[in-house]
Amino acid sequence: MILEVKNLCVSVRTKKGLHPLVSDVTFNLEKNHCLGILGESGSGKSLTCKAVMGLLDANFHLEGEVLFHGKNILTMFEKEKSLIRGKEICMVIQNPMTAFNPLFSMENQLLETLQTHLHVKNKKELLRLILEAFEKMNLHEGEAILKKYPHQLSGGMLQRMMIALCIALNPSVIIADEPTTAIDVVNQVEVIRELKKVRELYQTSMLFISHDLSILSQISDTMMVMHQGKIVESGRAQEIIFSPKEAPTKELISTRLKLIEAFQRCVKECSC
Amino acid sequence: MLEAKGIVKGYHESQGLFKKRHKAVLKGVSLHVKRGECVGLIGESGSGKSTLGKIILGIEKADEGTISFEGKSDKRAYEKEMSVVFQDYTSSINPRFRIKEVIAEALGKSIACAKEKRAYILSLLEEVGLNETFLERYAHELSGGQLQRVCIARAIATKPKFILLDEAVSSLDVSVQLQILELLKALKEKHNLSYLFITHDVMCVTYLCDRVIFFKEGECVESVDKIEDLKHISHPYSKSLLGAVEALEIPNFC
Ligand SMILES: Nc1ncnc2c1ncn2[C@@H]1O[C@H](COP(=O)(O)OP(=O)(O)OP(=O)(O)O)[C@@H](O)[C@H]1O
Ligand SMILES: Nc1ncnc2c1ncn2[C@@H]1O[C@H](COP(=O)(O)OP(=O)(O)OP(=O)(O)O)[C@@H](O)[C@H]1O
Ligand SMILES: [Mg+2]
Ligand SMILES: [Mg+2]
Repeated sequence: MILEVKNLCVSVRTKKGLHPLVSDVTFNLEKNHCLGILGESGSGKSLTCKAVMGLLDANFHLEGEVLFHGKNILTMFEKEKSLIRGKEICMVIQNPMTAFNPLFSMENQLLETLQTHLHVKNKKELLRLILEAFEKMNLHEGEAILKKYPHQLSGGMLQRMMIALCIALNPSVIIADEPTTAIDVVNQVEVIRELKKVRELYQTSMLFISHDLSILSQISDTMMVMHQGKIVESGRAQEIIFSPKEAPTKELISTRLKLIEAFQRCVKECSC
Repeated sequence: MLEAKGIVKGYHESQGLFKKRHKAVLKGVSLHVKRGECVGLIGESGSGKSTLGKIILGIEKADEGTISFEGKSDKRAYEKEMSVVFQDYTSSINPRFRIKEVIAEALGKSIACAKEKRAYILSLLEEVGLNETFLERYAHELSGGQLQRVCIARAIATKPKFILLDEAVSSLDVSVQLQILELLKALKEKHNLSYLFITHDVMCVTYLCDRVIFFKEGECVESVDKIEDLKHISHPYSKSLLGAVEALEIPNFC
């Protein structure tokens, strides 16, 4: 077992006392396993991930345990956490446009991150590594892109660069928070395929958050549905998609179907 | 109503230390949006959709080509009639403002009475599925999708004639997405609004838009005038796009 989350509760400190945001979240992540998290907007998906990464500040009150190889991340010192972050657990954060520092060129940031986590000093070697990852993400002209600053790149490009960085770091757990929101469908297919390949090659575990059912159904083995800070349903991906039991899940799935129907009316050719 | 003609835009790209190269992002794009119409713009990531949006809004200057809005080409004349939801929603909101101030700022001085203003802001938030508790919060205390909805509320607050929506529903879950799409549809009918809807989600386009334009490498490669005609597309890019959608979505649900 790589990651075990036990009864995780997150609450925020307000003037009126503690206000619960995420309560009693429990899940396990094994090697070479992908857990998809589905849930409506504001249901606590990002907070759960941030808590697992140990990224929440003193404004939040945390309870429960997050065990990484048996060690509790929540009680670790900052220094210990930073050793795990990046090298062992890597996160693709939700908004690609704020992920990078606007003051530095992409080359600067990416190489520095790789350098600190991989302990490779040779710049050429690192450059090769990152360009290779770019190519996998369908990002061509990698050298020109590296010279740019974040504001000179499109949302989808930044998002793919973040995934590329994640792949280059080769961690044992990848946490991806809505990693495909800014990418067009053709590239989405590409990205998903690449992530699957990474899993096969390195047995990476993944925590994959998305509101997009179709993407989740493509990549995850098991799924978990969140609603108002709680897990309402979890189980095998197939089962949840085809026979949802709880009301929130049913609603998410039936609305998606409604959109798909509108689409199919336009493209009747589909033989379904 | 809105017309863009032959828009060309390029950036200088540095190669090595001093050498620079000109890279064309938009290569002569023309499009028009009629009153009460919703035009969808679908395209590859990095193909210049957001850049086109910024040029239409007058945030960036085109190298060539003209933009006109209801016959006027002076930016100041039509600025007030347009509003926008940026793709980059986090940085388009001032982090030091509370949510109510974010929307109040867009409203300006149009509503004098403070009570009335608050009620109006609240009604906007409710329309996008948020409630009273959000009024006093700061941007960093909201989830991605909630913040995106605040941006949508801000965009419709001034009752503009034209709204540019750049990936405006991308971080929303389907049920909220549908709610927003319905809201946009209703507003369109009520106020005869026009939208330019930039997205990569073909599903949303088919749900909301009257016309679709496929965009690749800075050019319009194909446009579909009637959404029902989507099946007759011929360009290889648009075909591969729809193919990918079907591959991704449909087998899992049938
Ligand atoms: N600093 C904070 N103070 C108070 N409330 C917060 C804070 N950060 C987040 N929240 C609230 O916690 C809830 C969960 O937020 P979270 O970001 O985890 O949602 P999410 O599931 O990722 O949603 P989305 O899909 O919209 O990104 C939201 O209702 C949000 O408003
Ligand atoms: N200020 C700038 N300087 C240099 N290049 C830029 C600048 N702004 C944008 N570009 C380039 O223009 C191209 C198009 O960017 P744009 O943001 O318009 O893409 P997009 O179609 O919106 O893509 P996405 O769907 O990923 O958001 C990209 O290759 C980007 O690198
Ligand atoms: Mg989130
Ligand atoms: Mg864009």
